[in-house]
Amino acid sequence: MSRNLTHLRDETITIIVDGAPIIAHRGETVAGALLATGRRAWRYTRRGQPRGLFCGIGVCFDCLVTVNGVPNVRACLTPVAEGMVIQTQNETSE
Amino acid sequence: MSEQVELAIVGAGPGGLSAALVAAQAGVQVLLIDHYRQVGGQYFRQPLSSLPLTTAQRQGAALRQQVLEAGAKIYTDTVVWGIFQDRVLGLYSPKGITYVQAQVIILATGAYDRPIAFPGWTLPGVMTTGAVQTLLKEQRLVPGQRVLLTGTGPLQLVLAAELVRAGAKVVAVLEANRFLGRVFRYTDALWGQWGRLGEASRSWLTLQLQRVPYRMGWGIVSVEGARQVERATIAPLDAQGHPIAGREEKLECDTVALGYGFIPFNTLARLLGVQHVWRPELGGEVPIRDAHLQTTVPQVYAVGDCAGIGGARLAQLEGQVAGYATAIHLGYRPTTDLAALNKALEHERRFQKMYHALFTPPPGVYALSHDDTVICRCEEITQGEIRRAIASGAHTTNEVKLLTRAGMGNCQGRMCAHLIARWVAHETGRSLEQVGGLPPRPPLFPVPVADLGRKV
Amino acid sequence: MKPLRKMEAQVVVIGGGIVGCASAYYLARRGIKVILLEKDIISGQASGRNGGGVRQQCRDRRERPLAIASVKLWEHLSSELDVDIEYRQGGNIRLATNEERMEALRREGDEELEDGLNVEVWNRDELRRRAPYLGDVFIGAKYCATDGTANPILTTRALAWAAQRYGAHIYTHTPVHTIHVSDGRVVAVGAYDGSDEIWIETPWVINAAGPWAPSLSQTIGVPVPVEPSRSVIAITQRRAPLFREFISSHDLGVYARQARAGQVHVGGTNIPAHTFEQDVPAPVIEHLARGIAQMVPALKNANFLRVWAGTLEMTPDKIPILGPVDQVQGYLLATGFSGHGFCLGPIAGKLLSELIVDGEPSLSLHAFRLARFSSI
Repeated sequence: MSRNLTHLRDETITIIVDGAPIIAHRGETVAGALLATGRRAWRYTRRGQPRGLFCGIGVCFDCLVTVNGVPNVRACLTPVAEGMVIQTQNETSE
Repeated sequence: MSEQVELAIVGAGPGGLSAALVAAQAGVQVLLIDHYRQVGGQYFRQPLSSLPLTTAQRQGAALRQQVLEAGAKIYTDTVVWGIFQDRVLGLYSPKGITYVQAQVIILATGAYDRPIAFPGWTLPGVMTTGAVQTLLKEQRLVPGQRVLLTGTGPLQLVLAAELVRAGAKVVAVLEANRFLGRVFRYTDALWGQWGRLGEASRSWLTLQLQRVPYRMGWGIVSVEGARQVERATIAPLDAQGHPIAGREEKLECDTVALGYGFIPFNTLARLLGVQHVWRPELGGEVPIRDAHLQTTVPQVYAVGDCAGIGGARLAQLEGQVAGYATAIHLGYRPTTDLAALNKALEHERRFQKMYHALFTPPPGVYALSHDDTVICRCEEITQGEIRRAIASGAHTTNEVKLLTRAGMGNCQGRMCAHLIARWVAHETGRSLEQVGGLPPRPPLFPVPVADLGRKV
Repeated sequence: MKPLRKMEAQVVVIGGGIVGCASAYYLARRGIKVILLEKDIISGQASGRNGGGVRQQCRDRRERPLAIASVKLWEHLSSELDVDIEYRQGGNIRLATNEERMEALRREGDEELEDGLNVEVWNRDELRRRAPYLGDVFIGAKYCATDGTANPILTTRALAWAAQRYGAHIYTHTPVHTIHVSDGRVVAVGAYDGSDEIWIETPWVINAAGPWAPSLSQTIGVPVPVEPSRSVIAITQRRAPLFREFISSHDLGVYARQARAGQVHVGGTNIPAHTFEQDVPAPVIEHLARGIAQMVPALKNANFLRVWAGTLEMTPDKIPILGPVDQVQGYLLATGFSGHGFCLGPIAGKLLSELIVDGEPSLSLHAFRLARFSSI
C-alpha cells in the first residue's frame, strides 16, 4: 500500500483499531487510514463475508465500522481523530 | 419552527456552486447545502488537510470563495434527509435536526458510480473509480499495489494516469467500447474541447511511457481471491459486450476499479414528486425540465448530473441557467448573458451526446453475473433468488424487493435496483420504464433516532 | 368500445390483501371456482406495510374468539402454504407507565383468562426480569406468550400462491368498476384489465377492498361506514438481535418489534389522520424516534433507515364488518379491520368460505354485521 507525497502528510495521530494503536494522519478518513495499513476488510456481513471500501462516497454502506461504540458508521466519510476507537463490525449470524 | 430562505440549493458541486453564485450575485438570499465536509462535489473534491491543491481543486476553492463573497450561506456536513409540505427541507448536521423552508429549490445532487455485478465483485479490493478518485483527491492515497481498471470512457484513462503518477502499478486499463473508429463522426462535438482532448492525450502518453496496457474492446469476467482480490479474469468482448469464450486471460492484481459510468442521484427529486423519464443514454431516470431547467414541480429546478449525466462543465452551465431563472422568479435582475450561456450549453450538450454514444456500457456487461452472484450487496440476495421471485410473478423492481428483501438494506437499492430492473425486463420482456425503480421514502440517508427525538 | 372478455366464477373476491387472499385460499381449497381481482399488486397496501403483529390480547371482546381461532390457523400456516412466512410466537407485551393503565390491563387480563386466553400480568420487577431491554419508564405489563409476528408480504403472497395452486385465478392491476345486482342479488362483476374489459358472472362477491370498500359498495346501495386513516412505520438499520417480543405502549404512543433481518419496526399507536394520503409528516417521524428511544434505551444510537405510511380503514366501533348484508344477496363485506386485521386475516377468510360453502360460519359473525350501524 503506497502513499504519495508522504513528506507533505499532516501531523500524525493515533487511532485504536480492534484494540491495537495505528498511526494515521490528520486529513485521512477511517477508510483511508485502514487501507494505508494494508487492510482491505473491516466488516463481516451476516453470511460472514468480508467487506471494505466499495463506492467511497458514502452511498453503498459497505464500509461500516463501529466508531467509539456507535455501529454502522461509514468509514469512507469519517475523518480520523486522535484517540478514535474503531472496531471491525461483525454482523455474522449465519 | 423552520428557517426561511428564498433559494435552497441541494448539492455544492460544480452545478450547485454555479447556481449559488449567479443567484447570490443577483441579490437572492441563498442557502447552499452539502452532504460532505467540504463543498466541491466529486469534481472539485477538496483535500481534507493542508495538502497542496490541484488545478481543479483551486478552481473549486475559488468558486466557493466567490459564492461566499456574493452573500450566500453554505452548510456543509448537512444531509437533506426529507422534504415536506411547502418545500420544507429536513436537515441533519452536527447541530442536529433542523428544517428550512425555501421558496425555490435547485437540486444539484449529482450522481454516483454505476455498479456492475460479476463473480467476485463483493470481494474487498473491488471498488468504483469514484472511490479511487476520492482517495486520491482527498487524501493523496492510492488504494492498492496492483490496480486493474475496467469500464468505459476517458475518465478511467485519466484516473489510470493519475495512479501511475502517484506511484501505483496499473496492470491494465480495459475499455469495453471499441470507440476509436466511431469518434471521428463527432468532430463537431469535439471542436473546442481542447482541455479535455489535451488531458486525454497526456494521460494516454503517461500510460504509454509506463507501458500500461490499454486494451480496447476488453472487459472483466470475474475476480477471484480467498478473502480479497487476488486475481482477475479478463477477456475480449464481442459486439454486444459479452466476453468471448476461450479467450480469457488472468491478471494478478489486488484492486479492481469499476468505471462504467454514473447513475443520477434522483431520490430527492422523486420524493418531491418530480416527474421522471427513462433515458438510458443519460444514465437512467432523469427529470422532465423546461427551457429554464424547472421540473414538473413548480419552483423546483434540477441541474447537473442528477438531471442527466453530463460532467462538470455542463453542470456549471446548467447551474447558471437555473440560478438566473430563480433570480428572475424571485423578482431580481441577474446580469447573466443568457444567449451566450445557451450557446455554450448547446455546445456542451453536443459533447454530452457524443460521450453517451461512444461510452455507454454495452449490454454484455450486465450479463456477467451468475445465479450464485450476490446482486443486493446489503442483504446478500443472489441473482438466483431474484430470478425465482420474477418467476413467481414479481414483474416490477419493487415486487422483487418485497419478495426477496433485495433493496431493503442500508443503501436502499442504490447499488442494486438498476441491476434488478434489468433482470426483470429481461425475464418478462417488459420495458425498463414498465419495470420501474424503487419508491423513494424518507429519510434519504439514515438519521439518528436520538437527533430526531430532540427538539433543536 | 373496449374488447370484452366474459368469465364465470362461483365467487369473486375484490382486494388482494390478506383478507382477500385468505378468502380465495380457503374457498379454492374447498373446490370453489374463485376469481380474485386486485386493482394494483398483491399485498400492496396495508397487508404489505404493517408491523407484522399476530395478536390475540388487547382486543375488543367480540373479536377475541376470532383472534384465538386465527392463531390456531397461523400455527401451521407455513407448512400448509409451503412457504416460510416467518411466523413465530415471540410473545406480545402491552406496557404501562402508570397505575391507571396497569389497572385497565389487569381487568382486561381477568376477562381474557375467562375467555380462554392465557395471559400474565407482570409487575415492575417481573417486567425487568422478563424484558430487561425495556426502559425504566414502564411500571408493569400484560404478556401473552402465544402472540407473535410474521412477515406480512410473504404471508399474503403465500396465501395467493396457494389459492392459485388450488385453481383460483388472480388478476392484478385489474380495478373493479361495477358490481351488477339484479333482483336484489349479485349477478356479475365488471373490471378493467389493461385495455380489456372483463365481465365475470358470479353469485357471490366478497368486498375485501379495505379503505376502498365503501366507494365500490356505494354503487350498489350498501353504505359502509369506514374511514381511511394514515398509519406510519419507521425501521432502523439492522441491529444484533435484541428482543423477540412485539412491544406496545399506548402511553408513549408507539409499538415496536425486531424483524428476523434485525431491523426494528417502530409504529405509532394513536396518531389519527383521516386521509388516504401516504406521505409522512416530520412530526410523526420525530414522535416515533422519541418513542423508541424511551421504550428501548439500547436503540438510542440507532438510525432510522426508512419511513413509510399505509392506510387503515376504521369503523365507528373499531371492530370489522364481516359477513352478509341485508340489502343485497350474495354480497359479503370483509373490511373495517381498524388497524388490527393482520392476525384476523386467515380466520376471516376461513369463516367467509364456510358461510358460502356450508351455509354458515363455524364462529358467529353476528357481532360484525353491517346492520349493527342502525343509523345508516
